[in-house]
Amino acid sequence: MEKLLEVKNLNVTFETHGGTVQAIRDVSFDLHRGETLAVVGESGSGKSVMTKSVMRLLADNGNIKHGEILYHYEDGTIVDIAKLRDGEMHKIRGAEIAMVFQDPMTSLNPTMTIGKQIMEPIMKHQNLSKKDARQKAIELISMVKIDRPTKRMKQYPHEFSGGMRQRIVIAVALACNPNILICDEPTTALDVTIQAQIIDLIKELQQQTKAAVIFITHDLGVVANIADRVAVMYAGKICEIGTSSDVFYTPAHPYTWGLLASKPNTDNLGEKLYSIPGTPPNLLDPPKGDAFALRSNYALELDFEEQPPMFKISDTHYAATWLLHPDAPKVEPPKVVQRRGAKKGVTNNG
Amino acid sequence: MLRYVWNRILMIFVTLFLILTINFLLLYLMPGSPFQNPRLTPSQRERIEDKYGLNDPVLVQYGRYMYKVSKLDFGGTIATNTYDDIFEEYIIDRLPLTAKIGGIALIIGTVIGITFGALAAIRRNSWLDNSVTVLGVIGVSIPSFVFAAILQEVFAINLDWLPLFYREANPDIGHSLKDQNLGMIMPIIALSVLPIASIMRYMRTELVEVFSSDYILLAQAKGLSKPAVIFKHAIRNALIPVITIIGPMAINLIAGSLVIERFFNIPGLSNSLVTFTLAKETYATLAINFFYSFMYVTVILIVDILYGVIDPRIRLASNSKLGLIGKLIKSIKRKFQSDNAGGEVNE
Amino acid sequence: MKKVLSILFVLTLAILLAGCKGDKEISGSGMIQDVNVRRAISMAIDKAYYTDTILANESYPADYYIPYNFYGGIGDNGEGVDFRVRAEQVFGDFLPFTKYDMPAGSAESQSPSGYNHYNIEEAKQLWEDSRKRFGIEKDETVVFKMLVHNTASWTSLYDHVKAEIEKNLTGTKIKIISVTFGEKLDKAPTGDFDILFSGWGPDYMDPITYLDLFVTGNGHNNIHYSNPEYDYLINQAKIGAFQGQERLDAYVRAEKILLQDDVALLPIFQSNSVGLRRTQLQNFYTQSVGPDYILKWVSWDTTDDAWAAKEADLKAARIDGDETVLKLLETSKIPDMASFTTTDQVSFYNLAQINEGLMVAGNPQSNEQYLPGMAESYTVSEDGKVYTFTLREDQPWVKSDGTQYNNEVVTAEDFVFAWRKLADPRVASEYSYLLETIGVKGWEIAYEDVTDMTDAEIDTELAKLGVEATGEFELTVTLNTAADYFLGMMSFPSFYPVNEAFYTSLGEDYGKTLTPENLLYNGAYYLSNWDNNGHTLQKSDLYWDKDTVSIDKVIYELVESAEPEVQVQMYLDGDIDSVILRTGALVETYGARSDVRTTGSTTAWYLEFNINNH
Ligand SMILES: Nc1ncnc2c1ncn2[C@@H]1O[C@H](COP(=O)(O)OP(=O)(O)OP(=O)(O)O)[C@@H](O)[C@H]1O
Ligand SMILES: [Mg+2]
Repeated sequence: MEKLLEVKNLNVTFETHGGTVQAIRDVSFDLHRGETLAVVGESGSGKSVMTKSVMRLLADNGNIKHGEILYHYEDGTIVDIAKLRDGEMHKIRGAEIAMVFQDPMTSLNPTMTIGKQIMEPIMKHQNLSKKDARQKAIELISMVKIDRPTKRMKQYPHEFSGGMRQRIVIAVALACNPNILICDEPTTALDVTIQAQIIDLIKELQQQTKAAVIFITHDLGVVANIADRVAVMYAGKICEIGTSSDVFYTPAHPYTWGLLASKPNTDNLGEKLYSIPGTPPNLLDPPKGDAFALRSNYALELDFEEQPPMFKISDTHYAATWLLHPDAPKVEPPKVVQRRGAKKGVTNNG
Repeated sequence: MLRYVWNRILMIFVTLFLILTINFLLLYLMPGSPFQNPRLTPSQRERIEDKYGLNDPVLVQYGRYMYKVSKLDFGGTIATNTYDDIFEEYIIDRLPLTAKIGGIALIIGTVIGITFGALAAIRRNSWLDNSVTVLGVIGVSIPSFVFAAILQEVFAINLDWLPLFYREANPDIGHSLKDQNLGMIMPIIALSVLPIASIMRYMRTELVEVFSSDYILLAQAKGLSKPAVIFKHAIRNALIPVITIIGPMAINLIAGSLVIERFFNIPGLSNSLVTFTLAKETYATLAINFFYSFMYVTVILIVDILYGVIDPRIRLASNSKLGLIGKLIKSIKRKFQSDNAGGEVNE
Repeated sequence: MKKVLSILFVLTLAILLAGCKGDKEISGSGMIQDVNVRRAISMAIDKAYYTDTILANESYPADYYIPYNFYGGIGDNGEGVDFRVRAEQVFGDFLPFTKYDMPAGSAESQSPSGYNHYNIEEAKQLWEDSRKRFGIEKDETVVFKMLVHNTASWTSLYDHVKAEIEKNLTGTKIKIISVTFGEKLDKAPTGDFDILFSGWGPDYMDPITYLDLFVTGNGHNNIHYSNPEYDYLINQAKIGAFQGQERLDAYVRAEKILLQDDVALLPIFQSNSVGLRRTQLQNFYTQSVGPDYILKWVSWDTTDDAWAAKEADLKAARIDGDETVLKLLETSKIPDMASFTTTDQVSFYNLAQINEGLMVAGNPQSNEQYLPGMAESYTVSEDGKVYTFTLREDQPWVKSDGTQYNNEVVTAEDFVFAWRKLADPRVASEYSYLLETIGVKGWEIAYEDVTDMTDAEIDTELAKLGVEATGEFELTVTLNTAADYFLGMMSFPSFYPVNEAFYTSLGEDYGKTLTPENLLYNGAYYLSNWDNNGHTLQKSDLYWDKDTVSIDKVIYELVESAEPEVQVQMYLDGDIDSVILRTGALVETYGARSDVRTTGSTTAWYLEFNINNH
């Protein structure tokens, strides 16, 4: 598959009064044209920082310390977003890569009409006349399934419900047919019924526009529903990455196990839900070895000494845990996770 | 919006009525008489007070006064014939200067305050930001008359660049229009220190907060340039709360002008207020107080309306409460607009 | 436990009682009625410390009531005599006169003083004796209530008085009751005080203006003082029973009764002020009565020697142009120029420059009470109650452009009209009380309730007022009782003439602020300009005594409530020609300049004791 984005050895830090926060530590991954990559992980694991780095929208105190973010234009040219000048970056944002945020209640400008907010990127990137931009905006509003688009153009965000606002944000994001759409927990702030609608909408629009989607979520159920591939983040690192079935049915990293075990589903129905003990490490001073070792029941001595490298499990599946080292003792994943794997086998075989 | 304004205006009337009533009673309770000539014997004073109805029961005096006020007659000075009609001869006469100096100070304060507050927020943690913070603290904590004294000392007495106090242009005495304008510089500066400092601080805080909001991130994610983000998205939203403090600021100015006018001998509204109050010139004091209160509430009203204009949340939220007239106006307006826009409105 | 508690209780009680006892305060209102108590208090205060160290503006400490530099009357040689000079002659041997050091540079470096002079030993002795007589216990403190008005500039005086009395008279406490000036006027007549702070300046040039206050039943006699001998002397003098030296001595005796025999008053000081004034200004006399200055007398020294080289600009601006110019400062707007309604010093001052009454306040240098003004001469009836004035026939009414109004001259009718306005209950002039003071027949109409009367009825009543035009240029005034200070009062602006036709053409707007054209002038100057920046007095060429008037144009710049420092700055900048140094700091900074001058005033400041013997 054609590569669209290559992130290589990305390191992002934040300067704070307490010291340097190492928010992203040596992250690498690829994104292919048209695919949906889900990013999961605990709060604070660096999901947002990673995607904001791609947009170069880090807070003032944030720095891309090291690494490359290679974006492949359709014509084949490749640019390193990490080193791009601001002017160039303005051309990528909104046009090539667009973004949807978590809280639709706050992500629209309260003092600007909806129409204007949608028209803004269109006029900026597509050189359309005001009239055409208007027309396009109206189309976009109907595209995100909001009725009476002409009237909506003149309205202000506070006249919209949360779900409608998120649709508008999506319309804004899709206004210039971006190649990558980053959705940072786009449904977290919405109630359950609306969540499903928004996810369906994103899915549907993705199929229409053929954009690649980076979808950040806490909700593993959503991941299974939407993602082609899944990246699991922990303490500023990707600890496991693979196709949805790789990660869901044959997870390799103890953290992924923990995540899956703590998620309610048909397999652990009625059981007391598992929760990962302890708290994530302090990124001001990340641990020497595997960051998850302290909280892991499967930690090896080596985990406290040295960072595990990415072990390749299959062509699509990688995980960073010493358990995958040929010399490591064989451990059994927790019951729930095993049952999942078995189930997959059944489905696959059947 | 219209109903909203109506309600506010009604409130203003009630407020002013109460202010006048309370003021009247307070002044009534204040001991002494406008006839403070020590040469009058007590019986002579009493007889002359009788003549002016000052010994009538308080309710009678109050009723008589309110009746006159209801006809917009605020009375004049009692013991001297200086002002038959305090409103026409004193307030109208002096208001322009007070308003001019206060207005300029407010405009300067707002413009400089907003500009530097915004610059500080944009260049956060720069030397500019740090100086704004320090100056802001100094500006709000030191009273305006202290600045006035410092200005006078430095620019009038030591450097002799500016006149020590305000003098109206008068060729007869040898004061040119230039002297008059120069004379306004220091009072305006002294008065504008507080608004500059407060608005600057406020603007900075607001803008920093706006910058950290999601919609600014979204605007950036659209690919807008930094100036576009600042001017189209950030400033306006930061201005909304700033406007709310311009009202109190204007009121502070009114209060500040009381001192500053005395300091620079400006023949403004407040110039004789203290004299009138001490002389127990009840009507004159009441009229000036009333006028100050009137300005006060009007400023608040204007700010509220302005707030509504600039913040669509308020503007539209009150639409639902439109009265009959409001609805009528709105429908006419809509018809007019839809005619222009080719009948697009479909409600 | 119980026992301990009860012991504690008893102990506390004992301490409390002891505390109370030591602090026991008793009212001094009984003691103040004792002359020796009053004398003790009087002698306990170091007045010179207040004037020389605290005020430091060349005010005189006073052991006297009637001020220094005040006209007393006609002496044996037929000339005017200073009251204090005569007092010293009469009582100098009797009184323990001490000489105060007067400020260097003042005309008299030694000034007489006298009654109850500062003397701590005697004060203490008198006080201890009095305590014994009244049976005051050692641990009791006598509290005297001192009623004062809360003007900031006076607080140092109140504090000084309090400190001196409490320090020198053991077991006293002065409780200062500080109220607004207006409230003091209300409170003083109720008698709710032991000591009252007051000041008095003269209305006319006769000691009666001071002495009359303490006659039994006088409206200003807040201390309810009564002494038959005192009353006799003053009342006889008033009706002209004494003449010449006899009269002067009657006053001197009356003052001695008031201060020495009865100690009704505790004089503190006679206020003076220090200022800066162009050294070239001549005859800038301070008037002891009425307006501060009469500009008619003032002139510039035009000799070249008088002007220093660096004053060239000033000289050019003042005397080298077409007109001689004087520039002065006004710190408050002239409130009201209608002579019969106006009430304040600024208006009176300016009226005295632009209009003229029957008499003119005397030139202070000549020690004369009054000079003829509009009245060329007058006669008095046998019983002293009827005055007939003969007016000069050549004084035109002048408009604000300096020309004559309708060919009219000042006539007797103009006085009748003005006086009736003053008395008119519909006008309700505050200064109508002056008609009562001089005792014009029928003054009562001023206070009559006329709500039920028609205008015609009121006019009929007014016509009964004791002022009559007995000829075009003959005015007859009838008084209830003879009062020979009446003539002096005729220079007061409330009694100035007003042209009826002109007034009628303007009505209420007559004399109104900022309208020079709404006035007619018969004085040395007229108002040629009057606006928010000040006003200009222009010499009137139609004034009968115009040859005496030297300065052509007097420009008043108005800077409302100008700060004292600002005022001085204006003087230094050459904007004005005279300024008063109003703060001690300013006196200190500029007090040594060659253009410093002291302005005397005849205002007496004193404490009144609540004698209440009547
Ligand atoms: N501006 C900043 N300054 C300092 N630290 C920051 C900043 N922004 C993010 N971080 C830190 O970077 C780490 C990653 O944050 P990030 O917002 O990416 O987490 P997340 O995975 O998106 O969490 P969530 O699920 O709560 O959104 C956190 O530890 C956070 O404290
Ligand atoms: Mg996040």
